[in-house]
Amino acid sequence: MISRYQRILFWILVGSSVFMAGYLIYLHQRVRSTAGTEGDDTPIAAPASSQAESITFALAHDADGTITNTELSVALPGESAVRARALVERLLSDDALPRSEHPLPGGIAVEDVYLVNLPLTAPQRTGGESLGVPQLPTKAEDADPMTHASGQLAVVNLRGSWADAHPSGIETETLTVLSIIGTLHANLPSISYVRFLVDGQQRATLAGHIDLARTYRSVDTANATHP
Amino acid sequence: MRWTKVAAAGITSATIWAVMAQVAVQTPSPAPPHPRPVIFLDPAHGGADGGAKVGDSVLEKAVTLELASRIRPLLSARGFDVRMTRDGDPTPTPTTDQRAGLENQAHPAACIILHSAPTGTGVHIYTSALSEATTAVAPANAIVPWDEAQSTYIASSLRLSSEISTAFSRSQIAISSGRTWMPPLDNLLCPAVAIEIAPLNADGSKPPTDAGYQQRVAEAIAGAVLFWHGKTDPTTGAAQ
Repeated sequence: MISRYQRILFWILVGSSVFMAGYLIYLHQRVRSTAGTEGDDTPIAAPASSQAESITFALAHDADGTITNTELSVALPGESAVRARALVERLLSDDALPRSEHPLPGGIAVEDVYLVNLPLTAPQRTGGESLGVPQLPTKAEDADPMTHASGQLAVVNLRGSWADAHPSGIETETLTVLSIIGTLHANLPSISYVRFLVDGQQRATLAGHIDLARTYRSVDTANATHP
Repeated sequence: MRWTKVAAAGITSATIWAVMAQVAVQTPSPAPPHPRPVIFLDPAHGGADGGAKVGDSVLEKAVTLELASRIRPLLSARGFDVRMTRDGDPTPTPTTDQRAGLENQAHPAACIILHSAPTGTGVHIYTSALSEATTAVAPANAIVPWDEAQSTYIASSLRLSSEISTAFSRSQIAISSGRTWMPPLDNLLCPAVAIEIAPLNADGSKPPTDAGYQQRVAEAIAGAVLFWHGKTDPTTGAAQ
């Protein structure tokens, strides 16, 4: 024979269990609904004094292997090299978002972007100046297209940790390089060539496929344009 | 009498040998067999360089080698002399420069570089993004920059890529084609394409490791190469 107080205690425990199960289900659904923003590794934007402006980003899409020019409203610094770094960092951090169409590793991707005025000129050689002989470039210097080019060379110095975590594949690596080149070309027309370094060193490939030791022409890389 | 018979027999045999020798001289020797066109397959990566992680425990180097092993007999059956940059998983594995050197020395009719990736869908076909050289074929004594060797073969590489794309479309395999800068593709002195096999469906239901999917890809490539070679002048690589 179960006493009355034991029955009351039993039903109180059953009621508590049902209530806690319901509360757990509610919490689970709430977490799932906010999961899309949980994986956002975008660095917190530094306070900018400049106004937001319309910027063209060359966004990559892995599904069909295309690059699309897309306009976004972003506040960017005015100085060219800092602006170039902010542009590439923003482009690559957007690709690290969970619903990105070109998934890339999160975290800071770009160490620096340097802008070098072209044409490149070799340091003055000693010997000829005292005799008044004009300094002519050597054969190797003359063969280098950078000694004849105009505009600016953008040297994008990527972080090794980011490059090491980049997905491996011809398509994904090609799209990453094309989207960086296309974004720089669209917003900084003075850039005529782009080179890549990883941790300040020349690297053969990005993640085993695309040639990262090459000097790329800054061109429009988009297959389609979306306003 | 006995000597006469022997002499007669000697004359007879000598005559027969002389006639036979004359016939042998007069009969034209059989023509040397026409050399079979060489197709070079390059299963990318290998050894310590595993490439991308295509499946849970499968590396790109294994998928590319398996795919090359499926294409090889199909091309051989179609009359090609098929060579590969690696048959197994050697250590050390040839570098991309060494692979390009091997392929260039064989003067192949076409070079096909095989890759695999876990991202994207279907098959990605890439040709070199180098600008096309102004002369169709470089003079024999011309010095060609190593990084731009492919520039004289861009037109024929694009035709090969187009034929392979058409074959994949017929096989109902999704394709995306483009141009890239990649070793050893840029270093090859032959019509060359890089083919990257990704999951067949967007939901990943047919990964590149699927045997049936690989066989469909192999058959499409073999058929396309035969069709392309039939339309191409073997001496210049130009379309006929």
